[in-house]
Amino acid sequence: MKDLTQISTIRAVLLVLCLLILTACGGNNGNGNNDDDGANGDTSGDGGDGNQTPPAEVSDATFEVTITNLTRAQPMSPVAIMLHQTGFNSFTDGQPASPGLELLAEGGDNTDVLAEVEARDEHLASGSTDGPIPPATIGDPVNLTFPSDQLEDMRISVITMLVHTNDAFSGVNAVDISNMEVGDTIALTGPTWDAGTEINDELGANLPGPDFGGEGFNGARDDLFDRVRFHQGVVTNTSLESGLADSSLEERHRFDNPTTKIVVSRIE
Amino acid sequence: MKKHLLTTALVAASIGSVNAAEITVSITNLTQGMSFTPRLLVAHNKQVDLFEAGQPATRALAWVAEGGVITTAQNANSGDSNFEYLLERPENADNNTWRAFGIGGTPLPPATQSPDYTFDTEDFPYLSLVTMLIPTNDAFAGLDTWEIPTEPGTYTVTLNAYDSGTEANDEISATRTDVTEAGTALALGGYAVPGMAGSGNPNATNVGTGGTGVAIQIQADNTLADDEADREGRVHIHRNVNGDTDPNGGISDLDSTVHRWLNPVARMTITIN
Repeated sequence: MKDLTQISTIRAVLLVLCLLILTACGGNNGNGNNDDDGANGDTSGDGGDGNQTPPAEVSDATFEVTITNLTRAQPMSPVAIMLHQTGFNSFTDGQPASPGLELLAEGGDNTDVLAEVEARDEHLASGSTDGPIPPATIGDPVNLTFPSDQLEDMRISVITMLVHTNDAFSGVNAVDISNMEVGDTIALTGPTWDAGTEINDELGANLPGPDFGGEGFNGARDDLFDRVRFHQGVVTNTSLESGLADSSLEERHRFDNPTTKIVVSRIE
Repeated sequence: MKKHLLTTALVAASIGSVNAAEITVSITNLTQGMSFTPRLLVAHNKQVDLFEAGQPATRALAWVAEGGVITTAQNANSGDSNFEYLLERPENADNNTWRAFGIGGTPLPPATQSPDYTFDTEDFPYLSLVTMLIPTNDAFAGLDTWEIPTEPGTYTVTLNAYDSGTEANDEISATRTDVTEAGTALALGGYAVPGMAGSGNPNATNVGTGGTGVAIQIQADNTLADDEADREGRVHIHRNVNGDTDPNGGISDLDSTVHRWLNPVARMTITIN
């Protein structure tokens, strides 16, 4: 209640200030239009309407995206970073994964995910990190540029595989960053999804990456059900009472959300 | 009071924006089995950073994450490397104002809300907080460089649990006398020593004994060697404690049905006055 009182006090003061400005503007223009706020009063005082400047050359908008791997022992595959407009989603919770997402989530290859977004009208700009991002490491920034007149309804999607898993991936799905001004920086965090395309057997033969070197992508869809959902975490072989005895994963491969930090800066 | 408010508001309106100087903070422990050590609250600019995921921890952060130590009064051995020392060094002192809450009190128990703390931010634009989760090896809850709103009101943020990366997560109780640090024969617990500090804190329930070690194992001579190669090396999101269900054996002295958590582990309520 105290906060509300303070806010309304300030609002009342601001209203008084606006009224003062309006009075001044009304005097200058001689029309006393009380529907205008102070800012509009200033504009009309300049007599600026009617002076339409010719359409300028469209400038570029450039976003710098930096991914931090927040896990202990899950390398992250080369990250697919996608700027696009509304209407496109690289994946949808509760729906089957696209072939491109299956390839990324099982094998760490982002080629087809990037091809899928590039083929769409909503595509603005996309790219990949140069390579994988090791655990607990800040990746190198990636710059993406597109014409600034397409900023409206712009979204960012980021996808990367947790490599020491069957088909887990992290990132963000179509987050609205269209309001970012040049110089703004925001930090997003990404949860962990299960692509639903491979059973979570945690067997080394089916886990790619430096710790296991097992098989990555396999076209069969043999998970409990073929739909994307939040990942339940890995069971590992650590706990004798509740563990998965034949899991190749160890306790250090466990993770909690969030697994990625995504820093976005608009630099142009 | 009303007149003062009015004056402040007029100044704010005329110069466009102003940072609030005084804030009120409380923190709620959202976990089932972890307590929070004294909280370090810092208002600062971009020159000061308490921690950064993906980067190695400072020694000051290790003092908090491994032992809950912020000030020299808490632990004389920390005098050349704790946050009190770091934040008051000439190159940092102009860039922050800080306060530690709860020193000398009991740790903030699970599922408990702290009292309100009033804190003068001195118009620094960012707020950060760190507090150790006990009993763990080096887990802490952190707020990392949160931009203090200029609009008066009450704001809520949630905090995740991080691992400082400075100690292997052995999950061995520091109250045990049958195990010592390899090479030094030091008792377990605290900064730069294996074992979980805070294992004997009054709020800690279900801490067992007899575990053989999770990320590293107790050796045949009843010592625990926390070699650098066994540590994670850089700050990251904590993978959660493992625990087990054997209070007198197994691998861990934590109870997997009591001490585990999922993020977020804390909620902070911040009122801009």
